[in-house]
Amino acid sequence: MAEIRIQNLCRSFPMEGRSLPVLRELCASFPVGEISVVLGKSGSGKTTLLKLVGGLDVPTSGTILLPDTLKTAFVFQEARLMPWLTAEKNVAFGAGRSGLDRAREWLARVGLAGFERAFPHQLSGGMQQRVSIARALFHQADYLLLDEPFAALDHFTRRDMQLAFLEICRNSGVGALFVTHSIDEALLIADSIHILDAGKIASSYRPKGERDLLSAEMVSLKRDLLHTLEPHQNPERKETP
Amino acid sequence: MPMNSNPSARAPRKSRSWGNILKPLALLALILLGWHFAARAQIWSSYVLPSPEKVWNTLWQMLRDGSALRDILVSLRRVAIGYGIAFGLAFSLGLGFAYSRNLTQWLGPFLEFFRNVPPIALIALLILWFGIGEVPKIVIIVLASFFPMFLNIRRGFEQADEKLIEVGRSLGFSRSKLFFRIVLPCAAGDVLVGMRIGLGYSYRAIIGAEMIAAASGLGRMIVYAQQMSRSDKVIIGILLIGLIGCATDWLFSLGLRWFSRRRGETLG
Repeated sequence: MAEIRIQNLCRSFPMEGRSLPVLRELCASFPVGEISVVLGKSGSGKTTLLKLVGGLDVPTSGTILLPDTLKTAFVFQEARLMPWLTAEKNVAFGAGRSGLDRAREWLARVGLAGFERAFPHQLSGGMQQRVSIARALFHQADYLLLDEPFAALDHFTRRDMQLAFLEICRNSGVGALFVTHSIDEALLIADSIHILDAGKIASSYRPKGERDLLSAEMVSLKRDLLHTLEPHQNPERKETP
Repeated sequence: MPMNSNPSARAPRKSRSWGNILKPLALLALILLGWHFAARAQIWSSYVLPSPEKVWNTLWQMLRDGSALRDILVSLRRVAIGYGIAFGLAFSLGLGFAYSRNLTQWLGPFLEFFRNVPPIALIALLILWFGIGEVPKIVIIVLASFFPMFLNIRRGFEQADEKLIEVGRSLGFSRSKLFFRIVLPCAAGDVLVGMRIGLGYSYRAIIGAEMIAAASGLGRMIVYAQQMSRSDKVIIGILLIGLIGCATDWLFSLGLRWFSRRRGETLG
């Protein structure tokens, strides 16, 4: 399977006259046909990694090899819709009027039929994020780069969006590099989970079976992930007498 | 049961908009009545305060012989030319200042200096250099309307949302597509506000310039009427200036409302 290959990737940012390294000699590979989740704490370099893969930032050193024909598109943490455009024009953003029919189709596929003429401020946060996903898919991306896209949503909307996202990926044959700090989210959607810590991939996991977060297998995996993320914390809950 | 202590606060929108029209009209009627009785009682001489009837008759005559329209058109033409030049300069320099630190370093202090010099203060020098033709008046309009437009346009471009620009970059937009599809629409609100303020400034500047050095225009009409002891014409000049200013600003606000509606925004 074709994959995105990252070798010895470094990215530093200047800060108060010093160079602050965010990614250090990071090596990873993400198969383009599946959903790879990068899990890490805030400030671990997840967004930096995503921007580098998407070409929105330039590495200090190292290489990122993408398959020749791979077309990527971003879904950001905020929906980032153009406030002066309707939902359908946001989806077809940059494609002109000729793309409006296809934009309406994509809106229907993300469950927003009937909201084509709504402006972003007339939509809820979850609906705006759906428009943002439809925009990424409209541009015929075969690989999505998602930066904590559901972080600002409430629990129920978030769960609905996660399921909708999985369905869209399955139906469209689209792969994704999905960045999150939510372990439950990673367990629910990932084909593979990569823990980013101190600028490197600390370990990788491949969850198997049905994604019942309360199953013994998933609870055990969650414990492992927590232990990798916070090795000095005991993930076992102490029972009080 | 809670009582509404201020029923007018919940008055329907329609009656509020009627109030917006009727209240100033009622005040205008009161002023006209007071003016009429004061002139009739001859508290002041008719030179100091001509009666409203006399002002109306003179205005009617000026409208019929076309002299009022001629002066209005001359002033508006000057405003259109000066304002157009000022907008072109303000747009290009505002854009340049927003994106070029070099340009800001070179020109910034000079623009700051001229921003603090009232355009009317330059008129003596402008007459010396360019005579009393059209050029000094156009220059005065440019100087008066340039700065409010420049400052707003510059701010609009500087505050174009970086996150939205990043969306364009992630979609592979070229630099020109980024500018026309994202940066310009982001800045459009500030650009239009600057244009509206600039229009008001340019209109006020031309009246001032015409009062000092001109052979035609509304400003010149007022000065000439004062020299001829025609206070009725002076009042007409003032009324025309105010009415045309309000009309142009109203037209501009209509354009702004249309623009905002198209963008799904609501004006506060």
